[in-house]
Amino acid sequence: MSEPAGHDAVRELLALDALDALSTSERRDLDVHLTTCDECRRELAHMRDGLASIAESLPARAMAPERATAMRARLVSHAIEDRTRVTPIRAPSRASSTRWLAAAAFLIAAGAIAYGVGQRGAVAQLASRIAALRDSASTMQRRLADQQSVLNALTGPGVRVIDASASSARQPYARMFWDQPTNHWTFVAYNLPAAAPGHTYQLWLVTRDQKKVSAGTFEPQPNGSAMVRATYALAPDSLAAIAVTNEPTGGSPQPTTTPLLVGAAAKTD
Amino acid sequence: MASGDEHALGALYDRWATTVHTLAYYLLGQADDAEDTVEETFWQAWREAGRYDASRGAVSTWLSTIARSRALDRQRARRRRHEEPLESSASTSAEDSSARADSPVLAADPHREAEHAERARDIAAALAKLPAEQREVIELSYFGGLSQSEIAARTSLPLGTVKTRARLALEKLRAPLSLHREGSQ
Repeated sequence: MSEPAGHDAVRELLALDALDALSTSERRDLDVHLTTCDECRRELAHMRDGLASIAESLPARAMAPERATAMRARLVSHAIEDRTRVTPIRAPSRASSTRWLAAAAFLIAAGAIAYGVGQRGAVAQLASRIAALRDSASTMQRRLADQQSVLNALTGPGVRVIDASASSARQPYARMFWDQPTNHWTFVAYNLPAAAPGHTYQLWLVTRDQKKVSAGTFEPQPNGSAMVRATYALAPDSLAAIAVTNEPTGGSPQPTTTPLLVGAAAKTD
Repeated sequence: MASGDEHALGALYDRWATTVHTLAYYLLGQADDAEDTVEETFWQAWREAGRYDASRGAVSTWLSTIARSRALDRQRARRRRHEEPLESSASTSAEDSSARADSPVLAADPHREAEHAERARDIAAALAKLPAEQREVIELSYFGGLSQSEIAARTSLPLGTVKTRARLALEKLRAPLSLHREGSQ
């Protein structure tokens, strides 16, 4: 550890460093200090973690699923290309002592480079095609798995179905598929009006002891349909109802409005 | 991921894409820019995975730091191009985000949603407890991307005062924020 006075002075800089607000000279002093002071390194890590948790605490905003899936596929595909990138071929570096030997070496090297460039181009093309095929196969597999998962969640032998309806003029209605063996929940709704500005829909699982568990927030498509998928373990007889409420964007810990949709769950025998 | 496993990149994306997108959208208030920032963030994480040092913070901290940096670069570039006031990019999304929503269909995890809601409530409470002048410094710095000198100029305060307020604010925030981080890792 450095001198006590230096330690105390540099310690003052930790919060500012977490905020990325140090001057160049302050950063240099801090970097030097951190190479020898475990205590300050730990403190700085805590402060950075703490500050970064602000990001995790903002009201969640997911990308549209198809855009998120496409981005994932792009990233993974680029990563495969990046991993398989061909190492550039370098010309021989050893010098010769005579002109003819140098000339011969040059010709050999030039030939090797020309051959290497040709080979490299071919290999790069192949790598690119393989990456594209892998990407395509990976996308197809993901889609297939996703569809299979939806199919299982809707048609499995242990699936319970809970209908939810409303009394408003436009008559939105919804159906929840609860795949009890896997605890997968698939909620589909139709004819939902768009949520009011600054609001979103929130899906609730209401237990028989009147506990309301959030199963997520959602916004309907322009045609009024929506699907929410969730995984949540619940004892077979503990579900009393499902409900959908209108909540401020980001959702609420507990329902704050009268449900737009309610569906009672029949007791199982 | 540091050893070049693209599956690890996929797993990292699956776990943190929404968090990164949330931060980017909050900072930029514009869907296309936010999505570009998400892609840049994960690509940078892939390319620089070997430089990640767990002793300097959690993985989510590392990603948030990259995302915030990329988003603030865009925010500054946008301000340079359009002389856009800070408020219009840094503080709009919380109020009217649904008006510009892409109508995403969320695959929800009730446990994570509940944890998230609890965190959001407590962090908002911790921020709300800060004296207004300290909260302003944190908001201008973290969300606005202003340097301490820029904050001093903007608030007409001495630089030393701005630094002191930032430090005091972060020390007050550190305890509740870290508590949640430890619980959520």
